[in-house]
Amino acid sequence: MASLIAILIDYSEGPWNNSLLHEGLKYHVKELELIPLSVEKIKEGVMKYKPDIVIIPSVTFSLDKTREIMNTLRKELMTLAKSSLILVGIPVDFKYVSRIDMPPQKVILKSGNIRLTIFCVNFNRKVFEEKGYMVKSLSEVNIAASSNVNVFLTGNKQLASNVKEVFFSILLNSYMSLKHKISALIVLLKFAKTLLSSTQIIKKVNDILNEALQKGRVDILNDLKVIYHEYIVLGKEIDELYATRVNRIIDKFKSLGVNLTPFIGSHHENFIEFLKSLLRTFSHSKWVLYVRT
Amino acid sequence: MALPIRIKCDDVSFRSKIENIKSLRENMQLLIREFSKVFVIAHEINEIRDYKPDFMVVGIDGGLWRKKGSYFGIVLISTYTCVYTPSGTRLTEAYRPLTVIPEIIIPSNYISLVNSIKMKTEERKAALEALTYYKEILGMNLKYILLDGTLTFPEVLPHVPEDVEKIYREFVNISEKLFSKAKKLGVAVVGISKDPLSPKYVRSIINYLKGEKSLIRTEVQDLIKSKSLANILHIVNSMTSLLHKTRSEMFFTERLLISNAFKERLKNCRNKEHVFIRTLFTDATLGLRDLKIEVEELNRRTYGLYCYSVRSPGTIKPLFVEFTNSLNPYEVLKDLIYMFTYSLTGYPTPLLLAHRLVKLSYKRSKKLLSYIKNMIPSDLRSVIFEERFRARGGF
Repeated sequence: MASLIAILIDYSEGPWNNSLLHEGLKYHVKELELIPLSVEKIKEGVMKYKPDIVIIPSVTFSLDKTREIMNTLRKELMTLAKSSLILVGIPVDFKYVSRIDMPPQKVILKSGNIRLTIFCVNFNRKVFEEKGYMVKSLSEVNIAASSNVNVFLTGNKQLASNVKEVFFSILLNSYMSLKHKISALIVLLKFAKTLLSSTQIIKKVNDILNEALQKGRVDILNDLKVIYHEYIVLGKEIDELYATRVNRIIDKFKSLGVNLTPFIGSHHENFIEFLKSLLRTFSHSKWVLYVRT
Repeated sequence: MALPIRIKCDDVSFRSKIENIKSLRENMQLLIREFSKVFVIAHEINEIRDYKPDFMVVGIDGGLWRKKGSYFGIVLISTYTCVYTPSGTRLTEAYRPLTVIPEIIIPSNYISLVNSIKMKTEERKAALEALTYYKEILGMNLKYILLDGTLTFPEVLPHVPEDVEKIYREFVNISEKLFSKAKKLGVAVVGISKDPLSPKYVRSIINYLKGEKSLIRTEVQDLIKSKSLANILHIVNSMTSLLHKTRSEMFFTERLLISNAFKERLKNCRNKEHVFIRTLFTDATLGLRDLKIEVEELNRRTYGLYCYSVRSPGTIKPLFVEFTNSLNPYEVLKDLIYMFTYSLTGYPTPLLLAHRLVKLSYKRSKKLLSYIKNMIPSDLRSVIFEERFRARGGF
């Protein structure tokens, strides 16, 4: 197997955002190293590990900047270490694709000249912005998914189609050796599997909440309601009351057999993102209506 | 026995006063004629014929029903949110559950003010909810939130008791959150008043001429700045001095809207080619000199204009439209023309629907009250729901 280096692109610094991608990659990545921040660091990483391929999830950039980054990086990386660049459009929402005329999947297909190794970037948003890259957040570009947390919430079909695109882009590439192709596919499969299993957990959460609504066990729902209205709609600052409410919800779910901790992480702020994702995914669910009104 | 005091009438001053009033009236009519010539603009259908916008509009309206009691009154407030795309597909609509509020004990003069502030608070809460859910969470292309009435409500707030002040603070707090969030997410909040005797429009022009410069650039400023329109400057100047002298902007606005000159101008524009008639837009918040707007985002930051959709049948009654300046005004105007033109009645459909559906009928309110009555313990029921004393049996 080729040596793999992960450069994880992730604009929010919460610990749970990159945990899933980590889990997906760590089984097959020999040397997983989160290389912090800038393009210079990417170059350093390339020089150090000499990977064959660099994969960067592309949605976090706006289109023009993506092209720029791709062109400059590809040229530089090709000359530096004979590596190629892949932009993976994993967390893509269809709306976003239709809005920017060129979906990231096409970018992948066009990228060509690929030998294999995976390379992801982890960067601090501020530092990246200082370097002149435009990083768009979820609300700015109106996409339902931009960090991998939200990927699994966009639904299986979409995820499968995205992963399929990446598969094809790898398989159709004639410059790639078979060995490299296979290892890339294994990594992607593993990644997809982690994501799919997460969707199942989220579905279970939905089932529990629906059941709670039917049986009149509204204490979980009431806590969710308060968190939604006070901290999301009215934008109240997070305080001790919030933490106790979240803990109560987590404990309740634990007693019902669902462990929410991998989704929530150690920071309580992430619960708001989690709740938003739930509302987004199950927007037609009855309990969503209950929480909203 | 004290004799009644007689005031001697000074004939000269009395006559001069009458002459003044006469000249004022003539001047006013002249001004109205000139005003409607210069400030009224008619838009043709060609401007938006090929325009196919792709955005969502939310219309929100509130309804109010009040039941008097001996000690407490009960106020029922309902709000209705209607979500529309310009192509006419209604996506979802949501009632906020009825809010039942016991009236606090306040001087009776303030009851109607308090109730309307409460209703406006509920409306703005519904707007905030719609904004959060559709734009922030679902990431839909929500561009406009239509509210009933002007954005800078109330226009004049007298010194009020503490309890009323408290309710007003909550309203300001919610409004602040709504407008700052709307600005952050790039959504324009539009207020449409059906009963537009708001003097803001005229006042803002006067205030601008008096040197209280606004932060936002308006069409009126552009018109006044361009040197080729010296005549207009002269007219408006004379108008300002006149209005300043009499302090009757309200009177002028009223006269303007019901004047024959204005109506004729509108009638002349009412051809098949013209779809939307409006005045120039100006900084509406600048016109509120009696009241400092306490919502930061609104302070000197809204555009206002009188508009009239040709499609609305029967009466010629302009509407006052006010919108936040978070988006380009010309873009908003184009969308507004589209919204007014491509609706059945010449009034934006989401808001119209919200108006129709939100109304609390007497029957429905009575039913709801009977539910509430049953929920209250019997010993308190008589206290809360006892009707006020009135003489019965022919007394």
